[in-house]
Amino acid sequence: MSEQQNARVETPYRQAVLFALKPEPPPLGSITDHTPAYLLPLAGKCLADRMLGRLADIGVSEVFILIQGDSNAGAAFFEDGTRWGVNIQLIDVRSPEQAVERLKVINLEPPFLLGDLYRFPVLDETSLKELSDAGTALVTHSDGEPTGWAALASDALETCRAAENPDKLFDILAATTNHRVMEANVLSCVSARDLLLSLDVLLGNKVNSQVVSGASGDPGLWIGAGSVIHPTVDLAPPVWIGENCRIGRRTQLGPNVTISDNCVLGERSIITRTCVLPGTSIGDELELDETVADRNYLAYADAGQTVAIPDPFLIAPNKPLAVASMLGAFLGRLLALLLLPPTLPALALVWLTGLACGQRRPIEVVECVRLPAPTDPMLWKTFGNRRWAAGAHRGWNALRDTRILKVLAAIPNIALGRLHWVGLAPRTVEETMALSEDWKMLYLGSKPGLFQLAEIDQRHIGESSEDQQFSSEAFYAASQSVRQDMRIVLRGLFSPRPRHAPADQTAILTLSTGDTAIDQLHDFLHHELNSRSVSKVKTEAIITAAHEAMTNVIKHAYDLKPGLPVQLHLRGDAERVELELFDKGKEFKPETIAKPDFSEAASGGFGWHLINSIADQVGASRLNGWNQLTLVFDHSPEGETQDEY
Amino acid sequence: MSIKTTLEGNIIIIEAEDKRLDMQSVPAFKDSVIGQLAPGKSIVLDLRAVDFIDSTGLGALLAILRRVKETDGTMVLVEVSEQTLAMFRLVKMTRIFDIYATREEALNLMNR
Repeated sequence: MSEQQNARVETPYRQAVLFALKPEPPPLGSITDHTPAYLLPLAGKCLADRMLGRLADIGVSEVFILIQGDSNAGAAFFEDGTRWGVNIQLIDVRSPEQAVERLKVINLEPPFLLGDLYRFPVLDETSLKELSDAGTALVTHSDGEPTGWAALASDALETCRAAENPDKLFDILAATTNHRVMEANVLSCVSARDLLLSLDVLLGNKVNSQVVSGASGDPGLWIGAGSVIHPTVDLAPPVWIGENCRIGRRTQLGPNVTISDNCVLGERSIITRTCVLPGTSIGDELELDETVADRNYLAYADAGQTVAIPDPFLIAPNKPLAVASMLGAFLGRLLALLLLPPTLPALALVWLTGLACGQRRPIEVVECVRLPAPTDPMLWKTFGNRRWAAGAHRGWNALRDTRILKVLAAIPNIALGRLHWVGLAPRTVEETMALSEDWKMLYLGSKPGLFQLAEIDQRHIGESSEDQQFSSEAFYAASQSVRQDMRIVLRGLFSPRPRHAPADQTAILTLSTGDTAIDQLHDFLHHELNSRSVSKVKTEAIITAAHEAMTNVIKHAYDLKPGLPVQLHLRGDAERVELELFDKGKEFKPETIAKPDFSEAASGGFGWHLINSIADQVGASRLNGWNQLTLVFDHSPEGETQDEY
Repeated sequence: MSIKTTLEGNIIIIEAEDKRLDMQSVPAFKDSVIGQLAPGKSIVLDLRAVDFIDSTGLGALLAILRRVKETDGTMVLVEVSEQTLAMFRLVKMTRIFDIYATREEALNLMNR
């Protein structure tokens, strides 16, 4: 085994702040959909692991990681940092600007290091001495290009906190300090090219502080436990092979090749200057040069792009068996197969009923995306999801919506293995493409099912919004298990009727001024007041007052401009109703409203008078640019006439 | 689910008082919180007492956030327990919500 000592160095740095901001475009394209680039293995150890180990070696005890994007993998990897003997605080941020905002509330004690989780200048003893002597200094490549790393002394702290985003922060540092520490070796996962260059550095043993681990016989060769290499394989060092790999006959590997854990390489392939990521299967007679290969993706270093390979005999995932979920799926299919014969007569009967109700095709087949699916739509396959078709006959529509009939229609698909008893709602290609990126990612990694947590949650809490559906599906995808599935089936079969909202619930209407605003207001009020058992007379009165208030907002606050925000809050019951109307228009000053002119010459201006006449209490205020008008109706159905002037 | 509300200037601090934000408590929780919302006011939702959240709880938080955003308001979460934070990360909702370790940190930033 080839080993070099990690150099422990005394430095004044006790804290490090690392930005883990998702570069655009994403490094390594679709390869980083499932694993962040800083967690991809570089000869056995990912960049983050190497970085934290080095920081611990130089005395850093507290690391703040400002992470944008999917932090789940990062959180699971870093935990609290005890693995490296440091205290790690992971802070989720939504944007680079927010990352710099967060710097303002982190308790930082200069001098400290500022860095980038995607790039790591290896910081040998000489560089560290230069940094600590300089106070505030930038770490650059040999050509002077910034690496995203710097050392900050107390003079730079407030200046940096004033920056708008990390790029500006480094611009400020570049402008305010002349100190530069150059690093020849910078490990990076920002692109396929950078990844391969980093592997060249590591496999070439160019950095004392970075160990390449693994069993090694000859210099420049590392072979992990459990790997089987055919005797005719030609290895040209440096080559690093992880654990449990299989390399086929007459394949040529190297130089500068890393084959990560659990990979299978076919026969007579030629692999040079390539990184094969874990769980990848490479076919026979392939030539790979200057690429990063991951499951069914290739990232080309020279072209700077990632391509999906649709043919699994060329390059494909080499997935380990997930026994529990396979067993669950098998048993589910078996159950459906057993249920199929006795339910066929019932299926036929329902089908005939559909025909009798005038349905030309009682069963429709909708092509839905077969899950799990890769992220590239080019690689999606579909299956025919059978369900009872909607029609004009009310009885038929009521019948087709019953749970038992939904189960009947789904049994054949479950028996064929295309659908599961429990999963996410089957979606067509178009519906899947229309999902937001996050939603699409989790959807593609899951399975389609008959019983859906989203539907059950909706039934239980009476909430059918997209937000609720997304969170239910995300929750299911993240916590999927056989036990969870069984719970969902039971809830699906026995879940209660939808809950009705209590009368004191606040109902909120948000709309924009325009042609339909008044209609929306009327519809909303009719619905809400009816559901609260407000009398018809009182309802009409309230709607009249609200109509006048809305008209005032449109005409006077917003000068008839369309597309401006208005919000209405309603709470109460049959006895007392409270309305609040919010707008962002010109300040409303009731004291400036002229008294109504009831003479024959009058041409309008009765709105405010009507409002005050109808409502029992009227209040107006303004906060943060919003006008708030409060109307309370709590006495007689007509409300008492108020003499307000 | 009961909540405790305090006002600090234009910031409404809402503290959830029950341990679980799940399908049993979500309807009442949502009603209570939405009843406190008003345009022009920002919300700090303190979840220190909540040690369990399920899909309906996540949906409720999303719905509340949407309401707040409709009026140009901001909402942040503070004192989120490890289990709840893990749940957020698992379903990738850390990209949607601003989460701070303490109430003071959030108020500090919001008052700048």
